[in-house]
Amino acid sequence: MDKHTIEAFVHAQVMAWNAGDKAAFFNAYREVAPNELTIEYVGRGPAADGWAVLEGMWSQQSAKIEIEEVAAIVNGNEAACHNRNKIRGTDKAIETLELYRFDDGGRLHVRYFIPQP
Amino acid sequence: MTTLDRKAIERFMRAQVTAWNAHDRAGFLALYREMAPQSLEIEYVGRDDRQDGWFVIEEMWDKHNLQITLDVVVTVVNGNEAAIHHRNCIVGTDAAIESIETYRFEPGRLAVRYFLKPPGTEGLDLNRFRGLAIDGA
Repeated sequence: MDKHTIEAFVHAQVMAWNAGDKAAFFNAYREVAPNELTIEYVGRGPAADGWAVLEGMWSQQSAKIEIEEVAAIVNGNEAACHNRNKIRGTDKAIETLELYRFDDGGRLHVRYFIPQP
Repeated sequence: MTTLDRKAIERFMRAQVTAWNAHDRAGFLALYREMAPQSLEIEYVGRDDRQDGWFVIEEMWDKHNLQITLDVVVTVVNGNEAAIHHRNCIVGTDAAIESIETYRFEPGRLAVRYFLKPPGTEGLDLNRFRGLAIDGA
């Protein structure tokens, strides 16, 4: 997958999230991961089926969180992102570092680093 | 390091930045030797010019320590891994190389992966910087 496609995905998912556009959010993932999506919360066990994780994340968090893109770096077929997940109505934010590896055959593997209390 | 606890990883992450910015080469390399006595791997993501980790880290110091100061944006430790966002500020300029780096600690072993984003500054010779050089240096 080329750099521009990866960059477009990284920005599109954030735009869709912030717009509350569930269809666009999932479409962004389906376009780059038609055959497999896995998501791992680093340090909390193996990667899981990404579609179920995304559904849960959307239903539980989309109304509460607005994402600010702090940095996005695309190298080769991977992206690393620093996102600031701002909790709406508060001054609080959760800083996440997120890795996206785009493998041949329409497969995407995501790893989230999330601060623990 | 036989036990991979969060505090030890956090200490390493802080101490390596402190040593780098203090130009303490011996202290910097000692930190890596303590965490990775058996194996150190360093990968510049997206580049296939993989070399021995000790060679990379020593060369990185020798080429870049006086050129770059580190500004930590955020560090996250989860399990036996850490991820960090650095601004690698180029001394004497307003430019910085953004890096997001991951560190996986296993007993006696450390695997590091660097994601690097070059500054948008015009006229900057990227061949000066390992991991950004067009010629692979």
